[in-house]
Amino acid sequence: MIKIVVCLKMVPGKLIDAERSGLIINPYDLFVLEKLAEFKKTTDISVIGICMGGESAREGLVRSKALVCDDIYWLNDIKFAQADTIATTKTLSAAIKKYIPDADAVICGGHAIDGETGQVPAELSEKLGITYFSSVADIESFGHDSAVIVKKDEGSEMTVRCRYPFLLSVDSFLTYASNLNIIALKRAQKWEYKIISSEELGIAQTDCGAAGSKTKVINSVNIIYKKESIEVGGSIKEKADHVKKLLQQ
Amino acid sequence: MSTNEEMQLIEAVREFAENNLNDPEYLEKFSPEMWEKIADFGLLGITVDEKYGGLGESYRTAAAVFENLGYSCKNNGFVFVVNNHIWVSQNLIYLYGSEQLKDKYLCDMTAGKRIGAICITEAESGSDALSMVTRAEKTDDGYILNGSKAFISNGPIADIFIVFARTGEGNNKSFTAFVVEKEFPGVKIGADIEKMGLGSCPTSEIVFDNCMIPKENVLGRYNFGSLIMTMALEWERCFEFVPHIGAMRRVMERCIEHVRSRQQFGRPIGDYQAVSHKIADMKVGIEMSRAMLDRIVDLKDNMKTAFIDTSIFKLYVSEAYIKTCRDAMQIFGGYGYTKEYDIERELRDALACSIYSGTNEMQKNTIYNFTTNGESL
Repeated sequence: MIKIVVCLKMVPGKLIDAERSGLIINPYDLFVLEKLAEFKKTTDISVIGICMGGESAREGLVRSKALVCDDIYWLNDIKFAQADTIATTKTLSAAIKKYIPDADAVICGGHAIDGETGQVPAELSEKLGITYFSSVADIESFGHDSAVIVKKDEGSEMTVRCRYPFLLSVDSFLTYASNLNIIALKRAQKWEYKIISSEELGIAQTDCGAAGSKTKVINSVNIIYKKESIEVGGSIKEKADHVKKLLQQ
Repeated sequence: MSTNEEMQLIEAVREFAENNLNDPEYLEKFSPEMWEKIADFGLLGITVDEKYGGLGESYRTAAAVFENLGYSCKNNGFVFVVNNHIWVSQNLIYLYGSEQLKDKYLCDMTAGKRIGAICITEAESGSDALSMVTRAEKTDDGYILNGSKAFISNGPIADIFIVFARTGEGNNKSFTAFVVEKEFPGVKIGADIEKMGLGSCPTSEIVFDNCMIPKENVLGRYNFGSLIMTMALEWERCFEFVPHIGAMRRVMERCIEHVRSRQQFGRPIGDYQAVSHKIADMKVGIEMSRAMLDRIVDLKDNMKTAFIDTSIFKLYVSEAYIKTCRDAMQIFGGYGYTKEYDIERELRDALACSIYSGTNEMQKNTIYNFTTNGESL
């Protein structure tokens, strides 16, 4: 069985849809989950999710479990909060080394749509000491000792065979998971999620959360996108004149 | 189920419907692919026990889910197919069938591998359902069924029919409900009937010509089909109409968007009471429907009968739904009359609901009889 770790992050839903509240699975991570759900139908894989987040992450974790995850490690401790990419990397790598040291592959969304730093995958591969593949557009197959991926980079596309263990940073995203089934969703709601504290993880406080961060967010502004519609009617000429007037405003 | 968990289910259903069930090519044509998708999604067994592949949810949760399905899926005909399958076919086997029938059919039905339909109406017995002439004669091995049923929703695509047939001897007008498979010898399915609306719900005549039914396929008790029919109509009058509340919301929201942007005489048309009062009526219709539904699901979750409540509910929701769509057309004016804006399809789909599940006139008869017989209110 091929053991795959997926790093999950929950991000504000309103970044996708202004009318949506709460957190959703980062769309790049959702692509990974959906892809693995497809593979699970035909390939012997075990998918373990790992996520840093508070109680507000629960809904996204339920969906992740329902979609494909066989197990989830939920790093839920106030001491993990406000972590920059370095502290996040240290926390995730500590968890992977402790709980899934024999992972064949670690897959991350290329970046989270709230932070957009795109640094964690590279840092994580360094911490874990495994080969790093960036700009992954697709995963074609998982074999017994390697996987085949498609990388897209500056207009070129390469098909690459990667030997286990490796870390992938995936640049494709989804906002809707077609493999979600509500029977699985209901079972996932009843699942006992493993909540891991900083103490249980055994990570030094100076390595995680705000205390472990080299950078600190000073200010953040929510950009609210308004959805407005204007009805354009009348004859073709009237419609064209109206649109012209709107564009000139 | 906690509110959060119910909201997660509802959110998942809405996303699913928005992304999978609104293909414009199939708004008036049944899509087997869409059926497969909804089956894979796991919605079909929502109140059926997990043992039979269902979700085992309460009727309250099911109602919330189906209202939102009606909201997010603008393919009213497809929602009608799903409802016919679940509430007046699968649900009847689940609640009133023998263990043998449940084991034989339910898993396939919750998985969507077999589609259900109910057969009550005949060419000469619509409102007067009890004057049906389709007859089942007892034999040593089972029953032989002869007759035909008309306007059967899901008819052309169904695999399992719940058929009501006369079984009483002499002047005994008793009838029995049977579970009839499409493959039983003597079952003939008519062509899809072209209708004014609900185009994606295939409808046809079903003919039974010396159709052999095994004895174990009696649903409920022999000669007690009236009980099954009463319960079937109760379920139909509730859950077939729940999605219409969602549809009313959808239509109302379209109207709100329109009345805010459409200007006449220098002002948004929503500023004029002739228009705004129509939207107020839509809102009242939605909230009153929900209030009635709340009472009904409470009764059903406590295994109580809700016959008169569902009759009132059906009458009210159907009238509110038709009025909502009719008013929407008026609000959209000339645009509403065009195919492009899709309001006319909503109205065409809505008009059927004053007819199916017992016409609104029959509901008024039922309500009057109940009210004047001194039953407790």
